[in-house]
Amino acid sequence: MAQLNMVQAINGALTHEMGRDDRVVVLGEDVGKVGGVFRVTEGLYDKFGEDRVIDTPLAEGGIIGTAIGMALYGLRPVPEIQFSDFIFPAFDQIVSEAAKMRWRSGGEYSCPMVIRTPVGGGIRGGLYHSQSPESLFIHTSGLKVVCPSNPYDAKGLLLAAIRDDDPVLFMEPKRVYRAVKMDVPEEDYEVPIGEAKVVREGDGVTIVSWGAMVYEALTAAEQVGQDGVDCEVIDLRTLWPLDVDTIVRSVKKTGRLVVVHEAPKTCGFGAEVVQRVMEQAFLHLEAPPVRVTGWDTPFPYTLENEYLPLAHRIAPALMSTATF
Amino acid sequence: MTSSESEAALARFETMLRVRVIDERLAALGESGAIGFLPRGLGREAALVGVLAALSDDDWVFPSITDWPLAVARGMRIDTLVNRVFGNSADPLRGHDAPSGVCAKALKIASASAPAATHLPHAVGVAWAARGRGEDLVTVALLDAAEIDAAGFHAALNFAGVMKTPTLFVCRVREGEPSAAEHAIAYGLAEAQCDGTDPNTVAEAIGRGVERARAGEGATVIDLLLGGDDDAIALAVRKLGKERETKLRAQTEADLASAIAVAGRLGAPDLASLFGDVYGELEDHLAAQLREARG
Repeated sequence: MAQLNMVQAINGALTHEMGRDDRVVVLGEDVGKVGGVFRVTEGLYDKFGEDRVIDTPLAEGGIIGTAIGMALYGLRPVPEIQFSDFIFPAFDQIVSEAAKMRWRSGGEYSCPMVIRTPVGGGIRGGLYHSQSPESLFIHTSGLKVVCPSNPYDAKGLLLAAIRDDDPVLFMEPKRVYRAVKMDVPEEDYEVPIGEAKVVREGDGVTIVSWGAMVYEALTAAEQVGQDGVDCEVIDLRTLWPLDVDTIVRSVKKTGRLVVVHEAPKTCGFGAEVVQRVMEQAFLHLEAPPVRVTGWDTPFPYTLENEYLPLAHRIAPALMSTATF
Repeated sequence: MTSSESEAALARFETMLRVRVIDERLAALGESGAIGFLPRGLGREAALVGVLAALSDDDWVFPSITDWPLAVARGMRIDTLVNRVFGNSADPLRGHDAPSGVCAKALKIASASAPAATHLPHAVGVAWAARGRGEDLVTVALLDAAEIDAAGFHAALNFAGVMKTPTLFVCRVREGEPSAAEHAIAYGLAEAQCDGTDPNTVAEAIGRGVERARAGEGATVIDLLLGGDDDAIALAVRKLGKERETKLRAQTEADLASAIAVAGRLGAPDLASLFGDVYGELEDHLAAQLREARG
């Protein structure tokens, strides 16, 4: 089995699905001849041609709007937005059009499309190459939002997303792109949308995270484990629809919850995770749920390690939660 | 003009009159509060009918929200439209969209959206996809001059130019309003302008754009120059003559009255319909909210 990084795994998933289903097309800025700014689509143009791998003008609203038309017709477009920081010119198309198309048309039309976009910081990219805008899209009914943390899940989730009949925002943690290698099967497999995964078992504190911060959560869990705090770490993998059952089951066991995400704290998705636990596991809680997140500031260039909820910020939160 | 052509032309004027009567009656219902607000399509009757006359049944139309009467001109039954604007239990859109949101996949009428010009890139996408599948169809996006400033207009023209799609952008322009067609040259598209008050003139102009599109020559931006609210319908009435007008108006009003009486008696869609069609399947959180809503 090949050891692949996330870029290779996503590339492999696209290659596989485009070979299997001729309805799948890729479009975006420089996704064709250049192979994408992160080279995720490298080789697809040569293999599938300009009619299925389309270099578009730099106009995000046009990229998504045109992809919506393709989906209305019956294709399975996979548009790429080069950085999620640049997704906002397409916000209207995503939230007003793609997300609402099935509902407002009474099921006459649907928008099966996967919007791929790199997210997150830690690559010295500054404020417009580092953001994590997931909450803005989770808040929009009609969208599914996915954020894999590793190459295996990235391939399986992407295949599931392309085959899904609804629009999926596929957020790729760019910090993980080439930082992690693991076994990724060549064959066809799906990681189901809507299923979280327990990546570390424990009975002391539940940590919920996703994307690049899963690794920080695991590092912090190891650190506090030396002090006798045994953490369970849940990688959400899919942010919406949320796998509440896996979270609640864990919190009923541990009685303690820490949510870790890169996006700013206020109205971040962590707040929703906490509230779900309050609704379904309140009497099991031994300590107030805690959020370790990005600050309510724009994403910084210089102080990004102070902004990000890295292990050095997570570990103290775990200890105070465990000893509350 | 041969007698058969003359009859075809007269049929267009008849459709215009039906569209006008429907607009008057249903908009009045909106103003009375019996149904939600319906934006008027006054003065656009010839534009709608002329555009449709130039298209085949396989061609897709992407309407603006003022174009809801177009559905009847393309074959939707009046009672279906009336149930739609009532949003009742027989509404094919299950009360989801506002009254102006009329769409029908079988009639190749896309779903209209209130945000300005967001529908225009969709027309490009469908055209591109269809051409790639070897299907000989064109897409027509209708817009009003107020939408020219919106980002979606320029994105759509840009993509249509680059992708060379078989698309027509048809803009209704009144005196003093800006031209859409004058932007065509910037995106490498063809342009045209014509009188938008005569459905036959419109059909000829649209037909030329359709021919270019089918020949693989790309998209065209067309201004249809409208007059006052009543200019187009006045022409239709003159062409039809008093007797034909009176008869058609009476028949349409009777059809509407009957449909409105039935629609008004039907209740709202089931509560479950609120949660349906958000996704292809009812997700767990929506199923839980449906249970909560039912109490």
